[in-house]
Amino acid sequence: MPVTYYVLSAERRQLQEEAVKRAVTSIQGPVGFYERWPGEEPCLTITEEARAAWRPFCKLVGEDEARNRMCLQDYEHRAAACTRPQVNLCWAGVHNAACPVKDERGGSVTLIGGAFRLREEKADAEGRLRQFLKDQNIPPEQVAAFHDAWLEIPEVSEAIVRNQILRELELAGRGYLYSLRQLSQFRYSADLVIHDLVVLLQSLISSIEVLEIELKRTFDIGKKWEARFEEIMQTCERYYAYLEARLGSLGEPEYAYQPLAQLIYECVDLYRAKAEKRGIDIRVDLQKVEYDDGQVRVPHLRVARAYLNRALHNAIDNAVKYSFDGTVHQSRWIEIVGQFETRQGMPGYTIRISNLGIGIDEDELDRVFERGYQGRRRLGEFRPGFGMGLTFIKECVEMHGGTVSISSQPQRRTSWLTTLSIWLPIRGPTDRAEG
Amino acid sequence: MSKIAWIEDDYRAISSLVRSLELDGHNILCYRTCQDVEEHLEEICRCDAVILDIILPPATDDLYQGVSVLRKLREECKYNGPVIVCSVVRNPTVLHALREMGISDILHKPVRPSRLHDAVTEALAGSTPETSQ
Repeated sequence: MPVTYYVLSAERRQLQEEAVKRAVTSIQGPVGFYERWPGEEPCLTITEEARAAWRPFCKLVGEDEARNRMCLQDYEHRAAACTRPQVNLCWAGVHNAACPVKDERGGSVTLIGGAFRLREEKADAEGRLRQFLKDQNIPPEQVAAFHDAWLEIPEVSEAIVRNQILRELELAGRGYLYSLRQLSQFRYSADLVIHDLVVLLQSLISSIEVLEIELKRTFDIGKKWEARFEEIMQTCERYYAYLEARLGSLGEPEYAYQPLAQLIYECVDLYRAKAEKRGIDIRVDLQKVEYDDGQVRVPHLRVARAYLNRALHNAIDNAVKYSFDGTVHQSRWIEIVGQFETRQGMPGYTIRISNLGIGIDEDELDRVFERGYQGRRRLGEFRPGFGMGLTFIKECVEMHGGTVSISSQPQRRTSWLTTLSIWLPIRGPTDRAEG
Repeated sequence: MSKIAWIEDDYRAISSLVRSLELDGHNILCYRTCQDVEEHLEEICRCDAVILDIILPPATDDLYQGVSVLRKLREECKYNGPVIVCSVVRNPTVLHALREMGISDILHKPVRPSRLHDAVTEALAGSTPETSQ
């Protein structure tokens, strides 16, 4: 991929999966994703979604490992050779549509799939099938099963292929390239914000240390002063760490067992003062678990620390932002409750963050996780945001193999108890989710 | 006395860092934009080391201009000296692209003068540029 597109490999995979999912759903058939960029090895990706859409005939062919390899090679070869939208016939007699989409930076993406029988080329396809059965020495008792499975493949006309299937493949490819560009631009824009915010911080930190050096040389200041300078610089660096947690690029996720309690308390500490100014108390109650060695503590979870850190920042920031202010007569609180919970046989930990505030309408509870979506109640008030916080939380949690949900219950006439629930498996994501 | 080219768009951010290197005895030449770099390529290539920011004006379709600048220095000008990247950018895809072209070190802003001093000393001592495998 050219250096213009600065997306992480996990993000790229996600965009590929989204493009394939769109195509598979639209054309009701499997779709392979072939990508070619200058300076990179071309690559054919078959996602889980695509595999699930394989025709029974293709699954039958692929049952044999050698034939499965041949299928993939054949698929890749046809995708690589495709220079314009076309229909081609696989080695086993199944038609596929292929549509390449070029990128302005020299790369191209070809979505190839459908797995159908083209009405106008039935004879050719049948001939290819017969050749395949002969070349592969399919035993006579299995030939009928192959033939019957082949006949079950949907038959479509050239008009349908041209007007629907190829069109959908093209749209999915264009959508992918557009998303790459947009995400890359977004990453750059986020870096620009950090870049501007850091200018003064950099100036401050370097000025402080240079001052310390000059004072040491001129006046030979003692360790007491060195310690004070060090404390000031560390305060500046902590502020930078906060900025980075909210805005910076997180890099590739690196999973390791992290003390969940520490992550939560560090995050809460950063928001406590802001909440207290508004009369809001933040309460934390995390269930401890007894371990075989006799230790009783909040579990350590296998997580990508930077990602979970940001998700927690977003969650607590939202809770503070959308809470009503506390008053002398009416106290307000945000409650963070942690609980050990096994789901589908997997040990995990649930974190529930609740606040009393403007709430969310019931018909919006599913939508608030959508990128850019902002609840209608929030739009009527001045509370800054871009509609990205919950989206990130959902993506982060799902990346870890967890689940997230939100509820909002009316408490009194004008206040709602909103609870964000995050469940994370103790052992972290499975291989598939980790990618 | 070593001559070091510093390619950075905002002098406010680095003035104390420049001062700290000058106190160490280095001569620092500053360049703000890609156009400055273009106009002074020969001068930059005669420097003993380069310190490079990644986000530089003007913004173009190439986004992270520092990557283009390094490519120009390495491929067109055949500059073989040490290059230290000093930037807020932590995007691993961007950093990978830079490593591919050979860099001595990556310093993430905000950086302390003492850290910069160590990186520059090591780079000038002749350590070979860091490249990705």
